[in-house]
Amino acid sequence: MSVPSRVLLMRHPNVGKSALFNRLAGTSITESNYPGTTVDYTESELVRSDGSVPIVDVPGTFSLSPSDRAEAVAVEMLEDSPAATVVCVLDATQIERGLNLAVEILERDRDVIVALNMFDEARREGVDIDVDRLSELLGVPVVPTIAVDGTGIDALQARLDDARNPSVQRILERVADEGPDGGESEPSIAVADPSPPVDERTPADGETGGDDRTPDEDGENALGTGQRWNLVDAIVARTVSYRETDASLSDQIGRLAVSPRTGIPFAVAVLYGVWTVFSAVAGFFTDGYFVPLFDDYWLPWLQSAFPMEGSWLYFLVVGDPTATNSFEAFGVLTSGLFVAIGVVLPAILTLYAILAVLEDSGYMARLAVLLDAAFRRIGLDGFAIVPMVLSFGCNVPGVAATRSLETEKQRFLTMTLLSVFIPCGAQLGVMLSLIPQYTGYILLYLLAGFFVFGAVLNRLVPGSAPDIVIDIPPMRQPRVANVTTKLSVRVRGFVTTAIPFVLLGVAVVNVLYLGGAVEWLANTFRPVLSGWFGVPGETVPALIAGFMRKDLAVAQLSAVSMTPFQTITSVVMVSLYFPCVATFAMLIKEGRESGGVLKVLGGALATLLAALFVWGGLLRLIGIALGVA
Amino acid sequence: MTDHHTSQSDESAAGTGRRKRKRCRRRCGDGVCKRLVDLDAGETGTVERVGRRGRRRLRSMGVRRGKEIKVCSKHPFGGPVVVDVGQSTVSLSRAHARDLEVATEG
Repeated sequence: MSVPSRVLLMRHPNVGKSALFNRLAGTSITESNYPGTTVDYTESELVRSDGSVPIVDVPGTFSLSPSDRAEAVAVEMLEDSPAATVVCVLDATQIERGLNLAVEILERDRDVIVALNMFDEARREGVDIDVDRLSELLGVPVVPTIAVDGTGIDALQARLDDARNPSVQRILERVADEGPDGGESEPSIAVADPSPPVDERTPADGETGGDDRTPDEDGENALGTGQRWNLVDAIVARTVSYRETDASLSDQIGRLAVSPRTGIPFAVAVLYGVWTVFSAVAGFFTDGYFVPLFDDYWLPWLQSAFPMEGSWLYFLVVGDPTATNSFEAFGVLTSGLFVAIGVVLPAILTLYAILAVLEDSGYMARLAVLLDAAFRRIGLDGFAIVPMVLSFGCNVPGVAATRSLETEKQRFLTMTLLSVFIPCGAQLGVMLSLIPQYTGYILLYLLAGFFVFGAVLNRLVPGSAPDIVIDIPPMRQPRVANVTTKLSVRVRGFVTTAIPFVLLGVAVVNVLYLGGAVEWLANTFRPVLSGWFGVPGETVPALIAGFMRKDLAVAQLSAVSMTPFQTITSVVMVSLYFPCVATFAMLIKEGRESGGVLKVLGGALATLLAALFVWGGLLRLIGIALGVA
Repeated sequence: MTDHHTSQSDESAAGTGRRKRKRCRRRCGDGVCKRLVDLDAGETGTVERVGRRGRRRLRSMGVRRGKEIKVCSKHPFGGPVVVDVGQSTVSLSRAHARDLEVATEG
């Protein structure tokens, strides 16, 4: 076979979690949006001795008859590159359904090479695979790999040119000729039949309905779903033997984590642990290093070294010349830089690290199963946990992740609830630094609002939640290399997009101050702020800053003198009220794909106004009832 | 095992939702045919029929006729049913579990 022009990595969702891609890819990994859709894929260059070829990590799919949008993109990418070499990445521990996908790709006449990933784990779990025989039967190279430690990657690279495109008929014949392994009973006679195999299920049974195949793929090389599985069973019978092994510790944890009786306490423990680690680690860096650095060195130095004290430029860049801490100075290079680097960066870094570990361990799927029934009450399903948890890092990827939800109603509900009720990691970081004793309560109050308003929206918005099937991957120990790759991509994204926003936010608020707009707004909104919410009009600058960045808004609140309860109320208000500019832009972008910008934005704004006044007002009532307001 | 397959396909050809449910209580193969949703956690069976609901997805995940299936856990309040099939663990909604028939021992 000739040198490939383009390499497509195709796999099930979750398999190797792109670890193999990271091994094969060069340094320039880019994430792109598939045109006309909201599905992301990753692309890079595969460096070879004779130049480099594009390599694409196709979104994970279980089959080529797609049942969701990411799968549809996977199929389209395959169809758009007829000359591409397909590296079919199979999870060796679940070889059956991997082979099902591999056979389906072979039916589409592509040059294929199979990577049997997690080969070590399969062997530990008692799955022994005769690689040579498998390669012989399929007629394509089969390379065992262990992506996490790099085993087999060189062999895979070296054999890329050997990728073959055997006809499925030939595979059927070879399987029939070879006979079953070790005289075991034949799992299926259908493939032994030299004439085109007939599925034992009759069409009247409804099991081989036309819904499994699109008309244009019904060529001579295409099999029905039943036939394909029969072929897979026959191949497995000839190449794979299963040994009984004891359940490993991670198997047992995985099992306990998904049973209701043990799983719910486990989830509470995990989430509490995440919260504790997050606040401790973020606080460690912020209070231990950045607060002294900024307050004792950077702020005094800038205050004295920056010329033109009293000018508008000084006010913009440095802020208050007498401030003794970096939160209160409120200049672009004092508070702006401190919030962005000293507070938010450690918080985001910690949270993203925890999220990456949760994702890579396979725990998210279990959380989705546990929470499915609860989410169903508010018109969502277990998958909504993914955008929700991501939103705690940053609302922007959270809103983006709603793409994976199936119905318009679910996408609208999730993105609205997220952007209104979930405080982002940056905001949490500032809260932890300024009001650590209240942060947990504020978070719980916001989460309660998430479910209450979810239940109301579920009634108001027509449509229903579809029934979902969740694949539960085995619990795995997250690999440092994988976690750090993920972390660096996300942190790079944060640094380049968020830090300019923070600095700009400080500048905008300061300019409004100088122009007298803040005073005017404070006077205009004072009746509402103090009348309804019981907070002083001086919170207006924070609310303005909240348009730019929520973290900044909370930082700004610290400069206003308020009672503790007023502080809590105003922080809750800042959280509920307008999503930050970046989230807003994302809502517009995603709204286009989910029933129209006007509908989504209108609905989201109506929800946030209702949430702000009802949930904010309710908090004041609670405060009055408790005698603290 | 062969003759009951034919009788099953005959029946399901004319089968409506109600008839399927009724059929579940009769004997099939070397055991009793039940809906997956009626199995308790820990019980095992063999998949007899995957209902139309979510069939494409379920089958591509390896939930298909003839496979051994074990109920790992059933979640309360109408929550999902988690099953082991082959080497995989999959969570089905209640609606899927009602629409999936399993042959059991007893």
